Formats: sequence, structure tokens, C-alpha cells
Amino acid sequence: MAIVIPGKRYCARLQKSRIFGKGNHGKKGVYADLMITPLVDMFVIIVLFLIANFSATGEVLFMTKDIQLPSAANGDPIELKPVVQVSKTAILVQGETVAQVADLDKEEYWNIPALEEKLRDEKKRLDVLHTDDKEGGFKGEVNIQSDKDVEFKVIKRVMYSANQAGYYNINFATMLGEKPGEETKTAQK
Amino acid sequence: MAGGMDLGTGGKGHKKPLDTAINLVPFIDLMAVTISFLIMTAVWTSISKLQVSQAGGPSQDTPPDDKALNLTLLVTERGYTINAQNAVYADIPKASGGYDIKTLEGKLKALHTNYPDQHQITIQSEDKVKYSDLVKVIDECVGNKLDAVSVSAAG
Repeated sequence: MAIVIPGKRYCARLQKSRIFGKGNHGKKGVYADLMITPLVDMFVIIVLFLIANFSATGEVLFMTKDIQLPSAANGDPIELKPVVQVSKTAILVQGETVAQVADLDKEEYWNIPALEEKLRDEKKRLDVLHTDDKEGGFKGEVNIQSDKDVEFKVIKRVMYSANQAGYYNINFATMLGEKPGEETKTAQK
Repeated sequence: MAGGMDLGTGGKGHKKPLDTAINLVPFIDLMAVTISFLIMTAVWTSISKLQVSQAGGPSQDTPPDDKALNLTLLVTERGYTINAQNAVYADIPKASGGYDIKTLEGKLKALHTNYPDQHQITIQSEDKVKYSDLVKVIDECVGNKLDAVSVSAAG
């Protein structure tokens, strides 16, 4: 039997431990492995979430601060069509100003000539683009992106001008929201 | 060691150890690029459309139906008025300063229950009515199966 120094003697298992044993006491390894498995898990979840919410059509409407859309619960998904933007001050087609709202009161007629002309040009362009495409051709649809506080007297003139230019199906762009009745309930809560 | 597994702990054989670590760095790179692309191209606002036609326009290609109610909904600054068969079906004045959308919803539901084949409605709006109020009315009509909505000016 070997002669040992008197004192505490731990079992074989504890002798290997960092606390009770003698090996590596107080020394830390220079190289540390990063646990990248949770990171990969998180990345996978983020990618799946983003792919699920991915829209292939992209931004149909160009959102601006001047135009606050009203919300509607029963709308259909919006499609890529010519866009008429109506803010409190101006009317724009495809981002280009065609009329000022303040000037509309000066004119007696319902139609807005500049808007009508611009929409006719757009129709011609679409007709040329879809000459051989019978299914995806011009169907007389236009998206109206109007601010929620704009009065109907402006909207009706925009609608009339669109009608005169050959756009008979008008899509009012809205934010996809909850039902109007429930909206007030939530606000009260 | 016939049939035994070499864990790479010893031996002088040329067998490779089985407990190899997969290099995840390229995978993380790919994920980072994909996430950046998806975040940049993401559309965060969900926009919908309410399709209407202008009353009297050529898009109303459905022939006039004898059984049709000739349903019109007048939106004025005083409230709503529903006309059916050229008579006033319901008059819904404003309640506490705002439009009474709840009552309108009830009336439209009752209309749909009584006339399930009715899908056409003409909304006539006054000039001073705000676009958001008009959209609420159209939304309510579409929600109650009156989805062939025409819009025209009142008067």
C-alpha cells in the first residue's frame, strides 16, 4: 500500500472533479466553443416566418404620409392596376400629379381633363403591352388610393373621369382591418 | 475488434472517427443572407380592395331582374336611408354624432335574410360625405352579401 499524505482523501470520481480533485484546479481553457445550435434554430424560425409572409406581388401601392387609407374587413386582395392617388391637396396618377384639389371647385364639369388624359395614355400602354395576351389584358380596372378624409365630391369626379377614360371597375384601396363595429368596441376597451 | 466501432480513441488503424462535427458556418451565412433579403422585400402593410362600379356604367352587364328590389342606400350628412322598391325601407339617423353602422348592419342582415338572391345595391352619397364613411358603408354591404355595389352621387 502506498504511503499518502494525511488529510482528506476523495474517491476516484471526485478526484477528477475541478472542485475537489487536483486536476485543472482554477484553470480555464483558452478555447471556448460557441453554442450555435440555438442560433441556427432562431434563424430557421425567422426564415420560415418571413417566407410565410412573403408577397410575390410586392408593393402594389406606394404609401405616403399624405394618404391615410380607411380600413375595411371584407375586402379582396388588391392587384396590380393603374393607381390614382387622391390626397387632401392633389390627385396623382402613377405618382405624377395631374390636378390640385383646390382647383376642382373652379370647374363646372365633373370630369378632370388631365386625369382623364393620363388614364387614357395608361390604357393605351396596357393595350400595347397585352396585345397578344387575351386573359391578362385590360379589364377596365383602376385602383383608387384615397385619403380617408377626402370628401365624396372629389371621389365622384375621379370616378367619373376614370369612367370616361374606359375604367369601369373601380377598386377602392383600403387597409385590411377589423369590422367597423368591432373597431369601436376595441377603442372603448 | 471484429464488428466493433472505432470511436477514434485509440488504435493504429486508418479508420476515420464517426463523431465529426458538421460545419454550420456556411449554413448560418446562407440564413443571414436569406433573412436580409426577405426583410428588405417584405410587405408589412396588408391592403385590400373594395370593388365598385359607377351607377349606370357599362360594367353593369347583368340584365335587369324583375324580382330585384331596386335597392338604394342614401348616405347623407343626416344618416342613412335605405330604399327598396322605390319606397323607404329604413331611415337610420346619426347617433351621437356619428353614423349608426350597427343599425345599418342589422337592417342589411335582415334584407339579406328576406331576399337572399339580392346582390345589387346602389349607394348614393352626398358631396360632403367623407371617403372613410363611404368605405364603411360599402364594406358593410359587401359583408352582408350585397357585393354588386354601384356608387353614384345623390340627387
